[in-house]
Amino acid sequence: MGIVGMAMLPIFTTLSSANRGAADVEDQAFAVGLATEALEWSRAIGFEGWTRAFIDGGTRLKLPGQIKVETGKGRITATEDKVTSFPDDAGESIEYPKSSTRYRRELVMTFVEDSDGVVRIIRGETTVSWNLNVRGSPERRVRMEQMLHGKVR
Amino acid sequence: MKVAERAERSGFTIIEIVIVTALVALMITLLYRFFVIGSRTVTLGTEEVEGIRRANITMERIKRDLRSLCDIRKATAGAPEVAPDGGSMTFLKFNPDASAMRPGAVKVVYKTSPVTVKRGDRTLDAVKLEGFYGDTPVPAFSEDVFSEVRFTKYWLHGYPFYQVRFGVPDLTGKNETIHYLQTSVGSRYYHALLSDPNWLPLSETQYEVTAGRGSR
Repeated sequence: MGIVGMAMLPIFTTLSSANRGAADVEDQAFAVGLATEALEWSRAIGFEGWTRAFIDGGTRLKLPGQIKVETGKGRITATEDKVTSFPDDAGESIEYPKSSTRYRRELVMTFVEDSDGVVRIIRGETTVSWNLNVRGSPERRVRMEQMLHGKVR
Repeated sequence: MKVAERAERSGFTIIEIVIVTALVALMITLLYRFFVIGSRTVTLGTEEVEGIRRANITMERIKRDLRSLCDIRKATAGAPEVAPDGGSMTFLKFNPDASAMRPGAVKVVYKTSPVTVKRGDRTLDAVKLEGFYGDTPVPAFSEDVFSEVRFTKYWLHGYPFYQVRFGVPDLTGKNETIHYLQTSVGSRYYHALLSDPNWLPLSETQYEVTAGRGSR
């Protein structure tokens, strides 16, 4: 029986690796989709829109999650502790799969000053992390960034 | 004398041999079963990952098309349309044909139809996604079958977005779980049109759409 047990060990390992590998690929792919989505929102709002939002304290900014404007740091943050459905401009609910609540999404827009003290670039960075450490390291996350440029005069 | 007698009596009885043979057979059967289950799981896992990879590639193509979307209101079929059930989407995108002398637009259609597929020993309800540039089918889509494909249009912060969702069946799990890929794409060209009309190289009335390929 000992021999049978030892022979089964690599089979179990293979089986478990196959399941885990597939699940990891799925998690990663979904997180990339969420991160891309947030960058698309930031891109649509654009340089002018973010600048206006910064000036008015983000009161008219319509994005999912909690919005925080840090004037001193030149930063606007939109945080979703759990990615879940949100209302669009018309009040219609935009749905996500149930598994999306396992993810946390944060969009950070940083106003970057050049040497003249003028903001010509806004750096957008989105981070999607896992709320539950079901698999893999708790440090697992997907991070993407982009730059929004002001008009060149 | 005693040693010789013992030597004559040594060996296995028929019962012992039968028991040992049965045990060995049982061990071989168990090992074989585990090997078969393991191989099957690895095969299904690979197929599942391949399904996610295909969904990713398809999503990238749709994202690329949506990013070159043109919302030309006066042109035929210019307004982007998403079916109420989310099963199809139609819009115009700028013609990527670099050899064309003048810019034009091509009508893009994505549509789904229900199909039944067999994966492993399971029969699954799925949807087949087809894409068309004008009348020409997008070849890469011919083999793509997913658990779910859904398009949604919504407005956020005053801008239009197109949400694309793909469902890929979980083949290794016992229950009918679906793995999802989902993202939203904003139509950048349309945004540029709204915020800075001079960005457009041509006025919208100069376009017309004919048989999927536009000309000015």
